[in-house]
Amino acid sequence: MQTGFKSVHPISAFAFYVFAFLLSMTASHPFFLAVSFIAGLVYDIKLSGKKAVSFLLKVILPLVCLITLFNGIFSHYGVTVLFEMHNGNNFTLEALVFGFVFSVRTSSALLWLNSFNEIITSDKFIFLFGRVSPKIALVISMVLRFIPLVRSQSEEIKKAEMGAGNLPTDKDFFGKVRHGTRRLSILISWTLEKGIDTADSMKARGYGLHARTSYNNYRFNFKDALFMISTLIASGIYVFVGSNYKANYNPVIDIPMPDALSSIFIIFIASVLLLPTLYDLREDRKWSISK
Amino acid sequence: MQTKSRKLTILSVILLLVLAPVIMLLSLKLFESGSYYIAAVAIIILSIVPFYVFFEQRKIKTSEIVTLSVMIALCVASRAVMAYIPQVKPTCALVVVTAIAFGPNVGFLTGSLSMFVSNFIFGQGMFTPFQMLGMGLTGFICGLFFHKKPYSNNRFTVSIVGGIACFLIYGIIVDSCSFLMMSTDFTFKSAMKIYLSGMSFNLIHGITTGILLFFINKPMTDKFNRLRIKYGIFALE
Repeated sequence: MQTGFKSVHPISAFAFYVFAFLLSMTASHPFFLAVSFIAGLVYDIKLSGKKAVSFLLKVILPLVCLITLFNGIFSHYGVTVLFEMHNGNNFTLEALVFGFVFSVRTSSALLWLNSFNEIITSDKFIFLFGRVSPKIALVISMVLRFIPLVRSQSEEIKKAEMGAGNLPTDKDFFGKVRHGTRRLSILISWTLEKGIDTADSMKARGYGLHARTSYNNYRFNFKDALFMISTLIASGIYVFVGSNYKANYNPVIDIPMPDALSSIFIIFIASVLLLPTLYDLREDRKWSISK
Repeated sequence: MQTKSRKLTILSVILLLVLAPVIMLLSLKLFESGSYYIAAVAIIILSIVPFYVFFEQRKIKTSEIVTLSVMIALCVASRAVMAYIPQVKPTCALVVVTAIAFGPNVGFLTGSLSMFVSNFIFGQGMFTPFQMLGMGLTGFICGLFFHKKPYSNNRFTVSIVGGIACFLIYGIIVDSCSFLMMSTDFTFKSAMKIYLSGMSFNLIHGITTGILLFFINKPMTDKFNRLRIKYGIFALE
């Protein structure tokens, strides 16, 4: 049984992630950037704890520094010259700031991708696209089953080769190559034959006679509808209101300040982006109370 | 059935040709401060769709679906098999071989789906759509070039063309993603910087793919021919 945001219906969860990606990749106003980055980071930390923190320190931080610095060095637009570099090009504030904005954009998309990989698992993906494209969904689910099969068979082949005394030593490079290719060749023959077996078995059970039905465990309930609607409203707000709050960094830094009404909108978008974290926290609370 | 699938394929190609410029214009209008990543992904999705529509509409045998899945699984898992020879990724070579044996459309599907599924294991990233298009097109073009052609048995031609396709098509498309992610001024000069810095890596990928193709093309073709004669797989194309 999955809990928290993992139990939200795949359609709602997928719509949420589409919104989060679009917001992260298109935002130019610092408010939207900060909201998306912080919400993504908070949920990532909630999901994977220490791993997320080390991702922040080892990947996000160097990425932000590198892109900001590179943009400062290689781009020369902008009017505020900080200093002149040794090759006579201007090192401008605008290029530096836009580099930073751009890197925050990329890194918040990366943060959302981390939790996307946890939430939208392959079975949910197959459920989502199984209706649009049943054959492709079938192929994907079969591939996901064949991969562990192929791997374990590859180990079997290795053991058999070892038993026959055909395993190369560590220093023998060409021996390794020869062994690798032979193993691949044996593996391919075996897997293709196995595939034909599977196909025969499918045919014997009546595949292709009528439309395929599939079992799934997802029910679209009130909670999911609410989630979907708030995501849709937030994206609508972002498209219509957000376009008025477009910050400009080239050639002059120009950041419009939001008035009272649009601050409410920004707060609404922020709370929608924080919904997954809230779902999971509520679940934790329920669990601790019931214990 | 055949005409319907052709109509749908033509429709989706027209849709691509109309929508792609629209997306480009919109992205120029909307994101003046320069994130073209979303627009690029939208265009990639549009260009992948016709192949999938074609596959979905075609009357296809069970054994063909299974063979496609098996080949994709092999492309994904072969990385682990060859893992102890450094820098060798047989995925691209296997995609090319599959495309040569079963034609450009199956080649595209094998390439794009194997990238997609392997990212379920390694984690979906921002590169995923670019990898799918790159690997798919590599398969598609090699399929166009070699499928049912008399010179598909010539291991020199296959390895050279396959290696170059892998280096140029896959390399450039995937590097475009790094360009869109890393660079903020979209000029030819800054693009060249990114492409040149990715060059050595792509070159190694292309060369190893070429070498692998040199060795595996013949045995793989024999295996496929045996299957084709014995079970009649992909006789339609």
